[in-house]
Amino acid sequence: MEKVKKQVSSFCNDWVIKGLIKLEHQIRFSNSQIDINKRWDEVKLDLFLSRKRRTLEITINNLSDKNIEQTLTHCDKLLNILKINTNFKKLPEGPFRYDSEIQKNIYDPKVTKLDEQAVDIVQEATDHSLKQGASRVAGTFFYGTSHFFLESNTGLKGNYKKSNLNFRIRAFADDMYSTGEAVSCSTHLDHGFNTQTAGIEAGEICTNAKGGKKGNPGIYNIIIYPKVSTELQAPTAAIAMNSYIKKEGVAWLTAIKPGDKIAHESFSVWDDGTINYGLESCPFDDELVPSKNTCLIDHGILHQFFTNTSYSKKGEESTGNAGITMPKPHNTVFSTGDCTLKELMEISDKPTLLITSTWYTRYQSYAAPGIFSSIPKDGMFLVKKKGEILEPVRELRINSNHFHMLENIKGLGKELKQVTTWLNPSDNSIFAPFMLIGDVKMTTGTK
Amino acid sequence: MKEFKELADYALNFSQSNGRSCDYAEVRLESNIIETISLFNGKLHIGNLPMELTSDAFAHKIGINFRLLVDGGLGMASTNLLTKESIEDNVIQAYKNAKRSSSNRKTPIKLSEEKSYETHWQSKYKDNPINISLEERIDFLQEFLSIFKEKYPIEFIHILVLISEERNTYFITNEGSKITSHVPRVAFMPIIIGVTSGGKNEQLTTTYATTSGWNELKSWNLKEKVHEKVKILSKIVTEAKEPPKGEIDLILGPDVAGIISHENCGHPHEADRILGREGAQAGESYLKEHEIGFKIGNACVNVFEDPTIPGSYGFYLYDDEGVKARRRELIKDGIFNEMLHNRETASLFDINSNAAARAISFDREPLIRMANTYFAPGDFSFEEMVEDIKQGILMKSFTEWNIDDKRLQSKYVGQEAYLIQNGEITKNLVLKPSLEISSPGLFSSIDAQGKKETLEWQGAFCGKSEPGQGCPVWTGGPYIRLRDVRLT
Repeated sequence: MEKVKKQVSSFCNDWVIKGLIKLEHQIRFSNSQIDINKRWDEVKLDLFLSRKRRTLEITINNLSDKNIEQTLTHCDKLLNILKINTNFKKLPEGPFRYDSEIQKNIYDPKVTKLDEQAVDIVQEATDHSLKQGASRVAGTFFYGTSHFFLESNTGLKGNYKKSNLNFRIRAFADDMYSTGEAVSCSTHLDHGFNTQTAGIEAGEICTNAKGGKKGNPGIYNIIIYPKVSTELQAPTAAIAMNSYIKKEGVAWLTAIKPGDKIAHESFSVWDDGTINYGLESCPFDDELVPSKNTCLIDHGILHQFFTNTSYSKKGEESTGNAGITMPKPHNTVFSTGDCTLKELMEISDKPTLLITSTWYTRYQSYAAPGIFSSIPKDGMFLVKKKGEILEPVRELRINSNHFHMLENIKGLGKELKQVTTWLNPSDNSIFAPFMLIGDVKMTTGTK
Repeated sequence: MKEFKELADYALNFSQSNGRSCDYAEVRLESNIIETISLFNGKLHIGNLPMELTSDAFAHKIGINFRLLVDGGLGMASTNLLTKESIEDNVIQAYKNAKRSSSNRKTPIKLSEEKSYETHWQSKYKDNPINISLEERIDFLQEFLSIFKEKYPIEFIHILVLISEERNTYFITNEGSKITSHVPRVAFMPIIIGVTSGGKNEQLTTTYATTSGWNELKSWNLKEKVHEKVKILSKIVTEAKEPPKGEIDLILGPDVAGIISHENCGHPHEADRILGREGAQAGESYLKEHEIGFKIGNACVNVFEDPTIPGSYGFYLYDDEGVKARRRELIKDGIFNEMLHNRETASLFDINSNAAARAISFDREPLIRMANTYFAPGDFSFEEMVEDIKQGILMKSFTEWNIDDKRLQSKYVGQEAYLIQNGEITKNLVLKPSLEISSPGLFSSIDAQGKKETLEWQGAFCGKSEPGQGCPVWTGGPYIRLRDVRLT
């Protein structure tokens, strides 16, 4: 680090060096047995370099002295030919005070010693799922630790450790349609991480989905599981509310400004880099600005966009979301309501679908209103008699847009759950409740 | 790379020493240079992109991957710490991981027996894009900006992305394979959103990509092509009208045929999906393992897969398990003819792998992936396809699309689409015709595939696995005709 610092100081006005030491593991399983057991052992440097506001970001993972010197010489030349990055202001100078509680709540040393138990954890969850009536299960169990070291030319310096636990299990019946999926994720083994419960939930959804019939197209109220919000609600908070995206006009909130009403009044959302056990929590961002809990939408009113130092407007502070050339989200946290899942089913006043997961959300255009379609992947149920009967249905597709999804929230669950999904479009973790959304168009294949 | 080959050789020997006994041991040393530059509404951006799954977008990476099969269990370790101590530690851990996997398995993993090779392969090219000055690459992007300076009835938001890459590998196994490879790649991706003052909008995303080098990409007259697409986008937003109701005939352009060949045919033919290994990630398949010979579509339908096409974005001659690549005939004469295999799945069918195992970098396991998937040309001219259509649509390109995780129910929304009436393509643009159809329904509706002259390719990144592997591919086809379909 010292050598790199010396060299980048010789040709850059502004720089941040971010070092990462990571040891991560993954068990992949399918057909109720382990397919592969993986380990990643990685050390790398992410550099932000700027000379006279010409900026460059580069990742180096060959850390031999020779390669680092060659790469930095290459960067020196690149900076000569780049034009001024008018978006880049300067790096923050601080001084800042970092909350030591955050470090405690994002690192669990027990995760480093999981190796021997990890196979058992997978096996136990598998057994629980099969007991619920699933024929077989597939999934992944990620666990690992990362140690970050950051330093900038403005004298700011810090380091922190993180652990991560991310478990996904999908249960299958003998027919190809009846499946259920559940996830469990946290930074700590003893806080919010329960693979057995995930196994049971996946197995139950799968079993309840058996015997499903092709659903009828039409307009429905939908109740979505927390996991579904990673695809249908989080993109607004984690992508469209990025100040870079806003400035460049690349998403559906381009014409919306703070103070505008964009969601139902019961709905608020935060970008929270401080929440306990959040996979994206950390004491400070890539500019070494302390992480914050930033309100993005307050009771339906757009409050502010998340930002870094360069994209914060005059008189505004960074929200602690660097990415230096482009802000990035921490954990997306939604507001809760006062309903249980059963109560959401009871208050729904129209034909209602309970949707446990979706995938392959794709846009017609990122411009407003953000028209998309998304496919319910696992158990989907027509709610009958206020939830006393859940009739499994299949082969329906959600057709909507983000404005509709925000404005038509009719009820929120009372508990938050931390979730991630496979190839999550916003690539962050979210804390979401069950949500009831009104008047969503569902279509189906014609042949 | 050169200085680390000895270390890779040492790793392979070490995996077989100190009482360790592997059914199979594989070491892949790999370097990846990735340089992504973008213009966001004309402003230069170097680094990761939003709304796309990119990381390490400007990176010089090297590392080593070990895959060990021990007592029927598979373990993998990867590291970029290229020291003897780190290599030993990682081999030991990969071995332990394989043992742990083995203890949980009822059925041991086996690999098909394959010929071992000692060889070198690479794509043919004149200029490696990585060696082209960044200045020239930025100039290349900036040339497209003049397109947006013209007057149009709508406004444009534009992101122009240029991805230059170089991949080098050194692959060795305890069976005697020793294969080196070298492939530079370059891809140009314009993402253009056209918006009227009233908020009507349309988005174009396309990819031009090759392994034949910088000059090849530059020879494609891309500015002219993008300019044409921008003018059409402007017309679509301002002029397109609702599509007709009821049953119609549909002609799909090469862009649409290509994505269908990939999504509705390529993915469900991946043997790991069929056998359930991707069940919690990219999903499974509506096709079942015993269904080879099953009639999927009309007899005119042929969908093939070929990694060996020179210059293609998915080009390779040996896969990442060292198996020699060949063309795969997935749907032949309308019949489910062949799956895509790696050595693990081939072994379960007691056949040879057809070399579909690919990894995108040293820290990823090789998985069954497509390379270049396409509808094989038929014998219809474009005019012959159109002449007896009373009421139909020509869908030349697409915007939104998706497909379920069994690859059964798909949706394609047209972008540049024209009304066909009484055997003539009219000038009337059709607004977002939406086809929702099952894979067998789709393949059973095709009654004509265009001649070879109309075959075109598009670049793409195919997503699969966890952590995700965005794998470079081509998709392609000629014009194809569907009869009696209903839009949603």
